[in-house]
Amino acid sequence: MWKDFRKDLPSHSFLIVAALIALYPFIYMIMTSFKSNVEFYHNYFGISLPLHFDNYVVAWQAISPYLLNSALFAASGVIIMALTGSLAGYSFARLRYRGKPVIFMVVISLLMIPGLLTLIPLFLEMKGLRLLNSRIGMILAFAAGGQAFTIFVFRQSIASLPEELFEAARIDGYSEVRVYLNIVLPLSKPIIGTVSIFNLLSIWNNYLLPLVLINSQGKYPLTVGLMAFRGQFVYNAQYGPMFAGYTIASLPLLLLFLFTMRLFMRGLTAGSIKM
Amino acid sequence: MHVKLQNRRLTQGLLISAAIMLLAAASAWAGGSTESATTSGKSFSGTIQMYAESYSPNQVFAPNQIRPTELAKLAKEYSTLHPGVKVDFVQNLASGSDYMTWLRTKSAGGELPDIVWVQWQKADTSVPHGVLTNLAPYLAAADPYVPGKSWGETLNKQIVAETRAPDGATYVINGDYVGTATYYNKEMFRKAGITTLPTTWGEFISACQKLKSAGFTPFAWDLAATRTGIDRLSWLTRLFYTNFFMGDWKKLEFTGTDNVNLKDDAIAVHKGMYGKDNPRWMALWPILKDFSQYWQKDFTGSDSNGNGPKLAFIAGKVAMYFDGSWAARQIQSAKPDFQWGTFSNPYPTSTLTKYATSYDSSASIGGPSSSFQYAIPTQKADNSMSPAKLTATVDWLMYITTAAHDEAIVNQLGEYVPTVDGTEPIPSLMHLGQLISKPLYATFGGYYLNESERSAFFRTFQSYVLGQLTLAQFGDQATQLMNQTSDTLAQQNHWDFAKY
Amino acid sequence: MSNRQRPLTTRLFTTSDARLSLSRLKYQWKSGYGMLLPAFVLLIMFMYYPALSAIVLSFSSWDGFNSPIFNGLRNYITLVKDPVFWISIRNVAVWAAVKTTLEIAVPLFVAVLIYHLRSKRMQYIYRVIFVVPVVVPDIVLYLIWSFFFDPNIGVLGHLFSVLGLSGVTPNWLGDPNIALFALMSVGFPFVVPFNLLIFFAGLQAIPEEVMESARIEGVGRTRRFFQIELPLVMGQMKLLLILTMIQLLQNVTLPLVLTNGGPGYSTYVPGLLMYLLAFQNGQFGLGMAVSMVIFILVLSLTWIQFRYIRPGTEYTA
Repeated sequence: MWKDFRKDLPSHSFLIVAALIALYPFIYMIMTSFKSNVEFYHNYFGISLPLHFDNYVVAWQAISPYLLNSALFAASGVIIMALTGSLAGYSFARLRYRGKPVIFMVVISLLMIPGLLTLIPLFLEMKGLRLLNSRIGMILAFAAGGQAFTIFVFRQSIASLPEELFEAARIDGYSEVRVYLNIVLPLSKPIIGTVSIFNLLSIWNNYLLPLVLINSQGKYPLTVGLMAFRGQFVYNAQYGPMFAGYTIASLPLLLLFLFTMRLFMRGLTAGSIKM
Repeated sequence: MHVKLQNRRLTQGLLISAAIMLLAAASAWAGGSTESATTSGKSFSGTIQMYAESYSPNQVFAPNQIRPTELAKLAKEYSTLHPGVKVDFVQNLASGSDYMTWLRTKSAGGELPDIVWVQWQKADTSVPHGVLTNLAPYLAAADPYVPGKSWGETLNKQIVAETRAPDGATYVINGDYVGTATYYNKEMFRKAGITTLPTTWGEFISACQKLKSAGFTPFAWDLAATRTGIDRLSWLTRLFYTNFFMGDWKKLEFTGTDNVNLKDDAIAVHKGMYGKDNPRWMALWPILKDFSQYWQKDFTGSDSNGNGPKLAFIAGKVAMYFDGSWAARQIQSAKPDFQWGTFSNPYPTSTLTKYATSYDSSASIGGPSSSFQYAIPTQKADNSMSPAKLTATVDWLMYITTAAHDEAIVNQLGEYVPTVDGTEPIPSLMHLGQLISKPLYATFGGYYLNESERSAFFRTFQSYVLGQLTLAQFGDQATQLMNQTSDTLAQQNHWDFAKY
Repeated sequence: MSNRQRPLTTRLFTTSDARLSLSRLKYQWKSGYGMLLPAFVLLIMFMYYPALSAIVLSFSSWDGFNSPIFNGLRNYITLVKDPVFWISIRNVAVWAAVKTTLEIAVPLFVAVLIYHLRSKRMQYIYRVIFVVPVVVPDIVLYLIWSFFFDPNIGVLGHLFSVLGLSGVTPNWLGDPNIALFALMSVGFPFVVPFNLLIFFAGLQAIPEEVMESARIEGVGRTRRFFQIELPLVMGQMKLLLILTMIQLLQNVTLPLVLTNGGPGYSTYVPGLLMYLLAFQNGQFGLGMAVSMVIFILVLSLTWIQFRYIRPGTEYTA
């Protein structure tokens, strides 16, 4: 292994430097979260000892409700999207019916609709449906937003499954729903994993949609809540707890990635995500 | 057989989807609707929701922050007086949040609480028509808690007159008064050899020069294009223009109300009194550009969520900054490691420019526009409002605006001065208390006609200070902006400028 | 008829469809449409309907509270006459051009480097390391960077004084000439995890024989990249170009949180303009007109890329 390393040294040197720079904000965040203000003003770049764990206590109290909301929105949104998206993807990939190419193009064109366009009309519509400031409304809005991409990915992936399986199933007299349940879903596990992680990330990071659709502090997800949180802590120049809050906000995704990294990568191989 | 099976599956699927949608709609309806008032006959029974701003017992408190409990106490007393009526306090938005956006979106959804906080100028410039209820009829009604007087008579008559909207309505009930001052670092002043505190602008600039020579950054000003920065410029326009136009003051009150309100400003713009063709108006801008050389570097960069100048002052990086009376307590609790004090804002005099008058305009930044500014939304903006609830809400406001209660509420926090007739401020704010019954002379000089104009005007000013625009260009752009907005306002509100 | 000449729709659907036997055809439309139904209910309710009302609203004037008032093309005319609108278009054009290039080129370069490492284990390790930054929510990253830029307590400022350059420290967010570029550098070194992984997957999909023959023929690294690897990841690049660009053209959060469009209008972008018009000024109709313009921009640029960038597989005979 060391021989390989030495042969690739130029690549490694570049990659290590790039990785360090890419990770720096993350490292900085963690380092600062353990500092008291005095330590912060004296040492901007490095670690300060002792580590102040109480920063985390303060931060946790402030942002745990936001974390729960984000988790709820993300989990529900991802499940809905996986279900509806895979159903639609299968329909586009394997079933034949009138107007399919046109309908598919209509769905794909949705990819072009910037989220910005629908932001305010969605607000209007939610107000009309009396879903404004409600968690269910938020989840439905998220689920709709990610549909186009999800359907697209599922369609590509299911289309690449071997035709023979489907032929065999049809000869055996399986209904389409059974084919979907017994063949498509099990075989699509990697892609379901990848697209779900992607959707989860996108919901977790979304700032504008909840900002507009939710106006009770108790229902804020992490993104909006962190802004409110920051306002409070910058005002008091409490940088340690502020960064502790940011770190806590990153933990769920970190845990998720640690557990699902292989699944995520597997779904990305076979190079099926492309145009 | 296959066909039937598939049909059944499909129908099942459709029914399930429909059921889910129905369920969602039902729960949304259940979740989205606010509590409706039960109107048994004429009297209201239920809960009044109040957004009490700084006086709210329901907020996330910073360490060392005084907890306001007075309103909670009064709410309990009120419930015993009026069984069946409860007052609940909506949690304050976190500091730095955009309250006006919250107000706008909540009102669009019909979800405003029953009492909201609105500063009286903002009621004209930033709140859509039809959101707030006109409380003038109630001002004329008898106050059940102060026998023999109408509600309007118990409040500060002058302030009521001054805070009327251009159309004569009263949207905001006022209970406190805020002032601003210049906070300064005593040690830096000593080291720079400043022995007397400046009172005029000229003396103030000399002090800045001395501080600069001594190696200190004299002043922290927030000129970032953030909400706070955009708002702060109005402090300077008020300080100077109130002084500059004092000679013509009666002329500015076009609409005949006891103040210079939004409509007056719009008319003044239309007539060219505010604009590049009036050298008196143009005189301000070079003065401000000159002032900017004493500011902290990167004054147009980020402002730490609006607290940049205060944080810089507390950290000992600058010698002075402007802030409101509320900041005294905050700076105290931050325990800076130097001695500090305040002095009245320096005002312009004729030694500075021939357009200045001798009027001490230091009090013009401030006024009846701090936290005790409450308005009641209409039913359209607050779906739970009903005629009976409106009566009850007004009654609650009458209860908390008696002299004893207003004083208790405001003085507990100690950041502002109570304004209801017969109240007394806390000792340290006594000087501020003397101002409340003096006429509030303050004009923005055309700077704040509406949100759109203010933001654009501010950004143009930034370009001027940064040297990207000449004075003439700035004057042209600002004047054009003000005129366009004034015409738009006239159109929207059906004002006829020809009458003035 | 070669693949290139057939319209896209039939190209996408011919292969699998041809093999479906005729007898199953008449049974499929029920489940076909049925399976589409849940997705479409969501889409129609929360995507199409709002998009349509956006179009309608862009022709009205609305304060967010009272009823909208139809005013024809007035909003669009106001926009065209407003210099701020054109400044924002220019800003977002610069932003999108620069950042798209960076966010495509850098991950591709890193992916190629990782791909050619001899140790598979190191390949995996590097991929994990470069993906870790994705756990930091975007907004947190922006807030951390706003901290870096802070003139008093920021790391960048201190870096400059440590290097002895404190006299020349730029006013990152306060200088109108560099504020936009300061915003663009958020995310340095631009190794976007998602892009990196997609490119890597595309590289992995290159058949082993192709790489073998290249090695046997002694093709140099540069030639190998430009003539083999790049064409074969064109499909991925096309997708990423479109996705990245769509996202960049809409960006609101970064300028909103860091500079609010200032100083002056130097960091104004159309997305921010739309947001401020609606939520700061209460001019919702005008805001919708801006978002319609963004939409048309996105649509045209996407269509152009769709048409003119061909996936690599079509090059091979």
